[in-house]
Amino acid sequence: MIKTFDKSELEIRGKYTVVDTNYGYPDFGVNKLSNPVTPKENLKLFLERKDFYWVPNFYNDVNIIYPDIIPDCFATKMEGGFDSFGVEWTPTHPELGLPAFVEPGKPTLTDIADWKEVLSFPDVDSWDWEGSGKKFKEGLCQDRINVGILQSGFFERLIALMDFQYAAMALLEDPDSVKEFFDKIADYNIDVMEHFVKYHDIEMILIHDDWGAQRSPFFSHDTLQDVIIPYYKRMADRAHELGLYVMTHCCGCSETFVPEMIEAGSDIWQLQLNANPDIIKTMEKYKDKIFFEITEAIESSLDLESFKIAATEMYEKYAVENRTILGISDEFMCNSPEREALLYEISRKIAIQ
Amino acid sequence: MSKINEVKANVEIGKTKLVPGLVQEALDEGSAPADILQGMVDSMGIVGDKFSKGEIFVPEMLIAAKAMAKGVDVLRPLLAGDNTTSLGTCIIGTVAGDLHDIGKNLVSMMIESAGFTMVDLGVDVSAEKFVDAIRENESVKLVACSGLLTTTMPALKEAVQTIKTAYPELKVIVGGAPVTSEYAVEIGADGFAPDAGSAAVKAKEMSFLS
Repeated sequence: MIKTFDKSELEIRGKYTVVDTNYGYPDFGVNKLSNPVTPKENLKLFLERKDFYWVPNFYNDVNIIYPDIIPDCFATKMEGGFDSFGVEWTPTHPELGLPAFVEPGKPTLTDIADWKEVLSFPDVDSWDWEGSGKKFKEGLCQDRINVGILQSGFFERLIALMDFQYAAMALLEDPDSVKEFFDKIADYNIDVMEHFVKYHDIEMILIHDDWGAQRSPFFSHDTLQDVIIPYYKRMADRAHELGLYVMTHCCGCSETFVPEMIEAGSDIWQLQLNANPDIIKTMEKYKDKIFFEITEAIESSLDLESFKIAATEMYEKYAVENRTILGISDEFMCNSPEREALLYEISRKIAIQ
Repeated sequence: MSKINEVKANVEIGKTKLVPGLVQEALDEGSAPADILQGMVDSMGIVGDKFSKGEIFVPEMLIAAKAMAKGVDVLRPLLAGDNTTSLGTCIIGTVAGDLHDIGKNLVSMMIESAGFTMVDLGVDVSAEKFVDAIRENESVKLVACSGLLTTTMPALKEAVQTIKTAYPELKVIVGGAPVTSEYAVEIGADGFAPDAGSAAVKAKEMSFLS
């Protein structure tokens, strides 16, 4: 029996810390509250569809493992650098909190058929996993689930290497070469994932691969099924063998791809709320087969009472019936202690109602 | 099927390797270069329409545009100096502070496929640079400004208003993820397009109004 919310749970007993950085963002500091169970226990109860204590919050309840030893992680932060395949990521506007990106017009690869000649696959073993693992274990509180980040899945990797236009055309013009390349990318991603498990004790893998623009998917179901899903599934199957939950980060309008995500073995879809207009219907339809993860912003200018009303509406709209991990922050991706406490209180009440 | 119809059908499905040969065959059969070009423009109109309706996606649209470009390469020497085949010049760019180029490139490709001569200023384009480009190019009928970030929407407004102040008669269209038709009206733009297919239609519509 889940006990009801008690104000004493809001007592602050310290702060969670971040090691290296969380996607390059500053550590805004999340308070450790006096929860009835740990965030890790609560998230597992939620994902096992058992009674849980509060609606999990991806901002607060997980340790993001985004280690600088992985060139993909280092290069894609604000200041840029060279990713795991030697592609240079250039800073955009770090002062606005915008991450680095690959400068367009200088593709590493213009013909996917040439990938074997042009690309050198990284030696994953050569990265200092032992040192990184030790640093993260010492620096992170282990009462939250460790989530390893695979920064570029399949299509995103192709975009980084080829520029968007060449990458998109390659899907139709030379699908055989693309598939051969993605098969090898799946090997690379699995290799990284296995190192994450061995050295960072991760329990969830978050795979980034955007499949949609703001108003429509990037490609058809046939294309997705043909060139991406088989390799995604192989990766997700291995993740499950390793005991991991699989979270698919897929930005853009991609709600029509939820059946493919499920087929590929995704447990949770991290989505972009404002690009998926029918998300409530989608949630209703697939809530028994996949979880949803939403992070949304409520402006910092709102007073606490208005914030409470807006946040409660969001929880009631999206986070009922054990289907959504919901994180709310302000536009700078942080919260005041008062907002944090309010969100926790609302999420507790929603969970046990 | 006439050769021009074959060209049209193969542009529509993005048969890049086949289209140049079919264009040459159409020429050999006596079709006028301008008619072949118009056939391909019509095909791209269908492609844009299908894209706007969600029947096809970006890769299909890109390979169709690429196929048309290959066909145009065959026609180019024959069309040199023939200004009647162009709807005019369209200046395009992503506004200041914004480095996104994917949507802008797709729009550029589709407007070019609709029959315009494109001058692509790239990304992070200041309002003044748009005005300079209008002054420096001939037959400018249209300016297309793209903005992908909510933080650069003020730059979109500045670009539109600077252009309209310098060239009140010139048509300006805007687009990008955070842009709506209401916002376009609010900042004084003449048109808005939600996607690359509609942008080509809107560009044609605007060119007839200018």
